[in-house]
Formats: sequence, structure tokens, C-alpha cells
Amino acid sequence: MAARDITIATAKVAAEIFESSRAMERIEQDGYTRIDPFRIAAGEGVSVLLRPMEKLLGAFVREDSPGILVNSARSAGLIHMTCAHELGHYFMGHQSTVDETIDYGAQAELMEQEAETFGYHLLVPRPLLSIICKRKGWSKASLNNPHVLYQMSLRLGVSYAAAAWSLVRHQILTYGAVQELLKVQPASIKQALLQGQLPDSTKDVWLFDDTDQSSVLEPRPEDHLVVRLRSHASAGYLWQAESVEQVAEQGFTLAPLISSRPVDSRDVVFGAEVTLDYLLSKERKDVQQSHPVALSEVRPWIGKQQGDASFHSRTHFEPIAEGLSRESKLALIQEVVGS
Amino acid sequence: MTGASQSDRNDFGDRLRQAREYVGLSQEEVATALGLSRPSITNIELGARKVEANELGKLAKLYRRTLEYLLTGIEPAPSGPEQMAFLARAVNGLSDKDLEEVARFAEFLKQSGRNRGE
Repeated sequence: MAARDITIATAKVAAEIFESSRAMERIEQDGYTRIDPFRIAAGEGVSVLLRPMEKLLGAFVREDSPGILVNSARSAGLIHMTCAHELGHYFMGHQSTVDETIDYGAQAELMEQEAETFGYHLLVPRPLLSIICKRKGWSKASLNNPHVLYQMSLRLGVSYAAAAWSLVRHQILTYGAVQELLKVQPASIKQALLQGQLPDSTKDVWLFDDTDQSSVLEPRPEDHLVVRLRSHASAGYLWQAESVEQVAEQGFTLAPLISSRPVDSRDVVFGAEVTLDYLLSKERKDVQQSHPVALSEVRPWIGKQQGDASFHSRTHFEPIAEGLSRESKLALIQEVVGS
Repeated sequence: MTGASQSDRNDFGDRLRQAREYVGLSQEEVATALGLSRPSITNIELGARKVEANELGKLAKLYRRTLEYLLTGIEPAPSGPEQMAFLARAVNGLSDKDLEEVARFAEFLKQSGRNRGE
């Protein structure tokens, strides 16, 4: 089968899954930003188990009941794409198989090309790219910026490299442009965002700004969250959590990332629009539901006034730990409770 | 009580704990599924509380292990060569540990199918 035929066949299957799983509604109506392969698997009754493995990325096993095994010792993006690839084996009717890689290329056997192409169709459908670009105000040209591409990859839930290649698949960027983007290490992007204070380069760094206000973002509990806010510090304003109750309930704190920008006194113009980056930390991370991030910019000595700036977004932490996926665990518990 | 039966009981508790950890369930979640308190699960795993037959049946279902395995530690006979042929094909590049993981997962799925079929 030619590459074009594989693309058409797998895109058709993926489209049917979007229809039956309502995965796009979750994005368009609920504000999420990615297709969750664990949810798709659960909807099909396919168990997903994460285990630390040495060389294997994943396996699809069709026993009396079908299942997907994924290497838990990899990044979230790679874990999601591996799961999507194994779902490709399931939906395309393949037999049990193990994958040491999920980047097969045109020389690989048909089965692997199908699973690989399916994985990209499932996690990065073209309409999803358009939705994210629209929310974020990103143009086609801005995707050539490694910082933009990295934030795009986090919202899609795929690796930086997979996000780059998906743009070639959709003929949004050229092969050459992607080669340039891949010369940039995501670790250096993360380091820049945290102003050189990133302790572990395997953790992701999310940048929240005004354009994320209608979205539900899904970081892992151990990721770093940076909020870029328009600041009127020169007029005595300070950003803080909207209410004391919220701080107490959700245990989140906001601290300015100061060290970074050298303050040049010539740049300080009273009333001018400047942005400041804050580090958002949460002590308690309830992974069962989404939570609001509500901040306001107030003058501490007056308190919150009408007309003060505010920022509202949502996070729904995605735990990725050894064992069954969150959805598979729920199904199992419900089965036993009901027995 | 003799020393031997004491250690048998701890082996039993350890098998339950390991089976729980494999599927990634917390003691709290297992307690919810069985309608017990969390300390009861802790005590069962420590060998300090007796397990009723119906509770054991539910644990076997939840962990996708056979009753025989949970009680004696004897693993079910490995799947036939047909089922695991895909592993034989892949054996070249795989480490023993990874092979073991896939075989273990296949057994988990086999028990899942049995449970659903009942």
C-alpha cells in the first residue's frame, strides 16, 4: 500500500473514533487542548498499563481481552504517542506486537506504518492545530519559533519532535524548516522559561498567559507552571491568588520569577504595558478533576477593587505513574464494586 | 501458631501487596472496591487480619490473578506457543526484563478476559 493510501485509511478510522468518543467536543466545548489516548482506550475497553521498561516503548497484546503496555519511564509526550501507536494496532485490526520505536518510516512493514500514521492522525488532527492556534493567536509563521512550537507540543500532549513532524505531515511547515527547529533542544527552551532555574530537564515548563484563559491545561503534577501576566507594578499593583480561601483549599502560591530580567531604568515607564513572569506552585494536586487558577492584580493596601485586572484559567493535572491508567483503574474498581 | 504458618501468612500478604502495586491501586482504592476500611487492607497485607472467601474472590478479580496464585504463589502455566509467538519473533532486540513484562501483561489480560466472561 502506498503512503497516501495508508494516510487515507488511517485518517478515516481516526475520524470515526472522534465521532464516537466525542473527543473533539471535549476540546471545543469543555476547553481541553488535546486528544487523550488513555480515554479513547478506556472507551473501547482496552486496558492500558504503564510499567518501567528497559528498551521497549510499548506493546499491543490481543489476548482474550485487548491491552496496551507503555514504558512509564519516558516523557509524557512519548507515552501518549506510544499509546496512540498501539491504539493504531488495535483499531487497524493487527495482531499482538511489541515496539522498540514508534518512528518507523517508509521502509517498515505495512502494519507499523499504519500504526505510526494512525498515531499522528489521532493525536494531531488538523482541526486541533487550528483550534489551538486560534486560541493562542498563533499564525502559521509563528510555528517556526521553537518557543511557540514547544508550548504547542505541551498543549497537544506530544513531544517537541512529534509536534514538529506533525506540521510537515499537514504540510504546514517544510521538511527544511523542521530540521532547523529540531536543532533546538527543548531543555534549553525550558531553561530559558525558568530563567536558568530548572532543576530537572526532563520536567516540562508550561507558559500560561492571557490566551489560555478559556482553556483547561493538563500538566503532570511535577511540571513547572509559569504565568506571564501584564504588570502594573510601577503603580503599586501586585498579582496574587484571587482569594485566601482558594489558597487554603488548593494550596497554590504565586511567586515572581525575578532574577531573570535585568531591570534597565530607562525601560521603566509609568503606566506602560510590561509583563512579569510568575511561578505558580501547587502543594496539593487533586488529579480527579479540573481546578481553577484565579489571580487578580491588586494594590495590597487597598485590596481588590472593581476594575482590577484578573486572570482565570483551569488546570487538570494528569498523573502518569506505574500501574494502570487512571481510566483503566476506574473501570476495574467499578467492575468489582458492581459484582 | 507455628513459625512456618506465620511466614506463610506473610507471604500471602506480600503477594497481595505486590499484586496491588502491579495494577497501581492504592490501599484506599482497594478498600472502596471491597467495601472495607483502609486499615483492613493494611492489616490483610500485614497478615494481621483474616481474609474471607468472598473478599479473596474480589481481590483476585481486582488484581487479575488466579485464586490459586494468591493462595499458594504458584503461577498459572504459561500461555501456549501460539499466543506468545509474537514475542518469539521480537526476542532479538528485547531484554529479559522487557520480555518478562510483556508476558506478565499478557497473563493479566488473559485473566481479565476470564473475569469478563463469567
